[in-house]
Amino acid sequence: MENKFIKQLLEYCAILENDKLTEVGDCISLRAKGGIYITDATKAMKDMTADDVKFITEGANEIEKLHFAIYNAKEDINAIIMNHATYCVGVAKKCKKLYAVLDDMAQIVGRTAKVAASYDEDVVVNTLKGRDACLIKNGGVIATGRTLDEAHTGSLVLEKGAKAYVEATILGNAVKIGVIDAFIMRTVYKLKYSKKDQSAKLAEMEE
Amino acid sequence: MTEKEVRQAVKDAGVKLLESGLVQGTWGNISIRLDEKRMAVTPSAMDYIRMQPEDVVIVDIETLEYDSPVKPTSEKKIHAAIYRDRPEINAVIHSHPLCSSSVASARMEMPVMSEEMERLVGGSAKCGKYGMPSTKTLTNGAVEAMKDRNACFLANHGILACGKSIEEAFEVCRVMEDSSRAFVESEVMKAKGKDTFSMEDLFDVFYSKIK
Repeated sequence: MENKFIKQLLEYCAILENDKLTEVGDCISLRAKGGIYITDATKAMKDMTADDVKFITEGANEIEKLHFAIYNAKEDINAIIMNHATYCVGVAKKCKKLYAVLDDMAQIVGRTAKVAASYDEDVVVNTLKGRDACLIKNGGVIATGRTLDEAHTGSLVLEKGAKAYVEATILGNAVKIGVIDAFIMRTVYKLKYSKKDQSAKLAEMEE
Repeated sequence: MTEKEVRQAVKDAGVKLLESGLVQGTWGNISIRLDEKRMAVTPSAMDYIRMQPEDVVIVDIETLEYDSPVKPTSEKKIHAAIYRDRPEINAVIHSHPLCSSSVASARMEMPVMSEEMERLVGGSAKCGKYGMPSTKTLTNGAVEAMKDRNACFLANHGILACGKSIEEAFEVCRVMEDSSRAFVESEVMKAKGKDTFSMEDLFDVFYSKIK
């Protein structure tokens, strides 16, 4: 019988490749009973096969240890996407935070996405406190979610938000979403809007 | 068009938007006028691939009432307001294409970027007053910005595009995205004094503006 975790991971490797949101060194994982399924970070997403996905119960290298540290710190998540996207990488080079200038980022990620100083697991876990995603200085993006779909949405929204922030700044006027508006939108999204779609996706995963 | 055909047309337009990269996931919404009093709108929080024609909700343009177990998009007010204000309009698309969203984040009026934009949009593209999703402020701002135009930006949100048919609304959506891309690119080239530019140039301009 085909392993549903491996199937899903390969499906999202292809999606990330298609979105042009990835480069070699990126990897994605899913929480499973007793451990995690994780893709090989040395392989390009487009070349990933079932043989490149392994089930592990502890981290053998820095990337695997980082995934375990994030899952241990965030009990509500089941998926992690670590990727590189052009605008997020560009913003993370010079900014401490990516501000939401689009309300979908305020809803799905929050008013800001912080930039972690490095991939060090304590630094990343601390940066992700109370948040579903962050950027890494001179690195890429880490997005988490209840499902791979949710983590992928976070990653997409971050890149779209980064592009909007960069380009609106170039146009001369990047208008940030206000604190109160962002809080209301995020709360409504978490309590109501995402629930229906993610419940369906979780049910699909458990079938 | 029969109700069945309109439902199918809404579903097909959603898939077309998704495949054209003019919308992602469950974001954005589409409507087609069914008759003088009713519109067919996309359901709330359902992606366009999973959505079936029977999930499309028929909503009263005046009262916003609907008789369906499926909830219509929370932006139904904005669609209904356009149909009430513009009797010649038969289709409305609310979307968040990437480059258009950048211009919407700047809350700027985009000048006419091409003859095609002039023909399809009807002039410059204005930006509606900022309002939270589903609010009266957002709706009224959009109706105002759409006066004499077939499209406008929704501040920090996306765009609204309309037409006499769903095909025309789709074309308006596409030209807004093409024009928005050209608008941003023209600013980068102006800042760098070049006729072409690289991503490095684009980030140079960005970094110079955040100092």
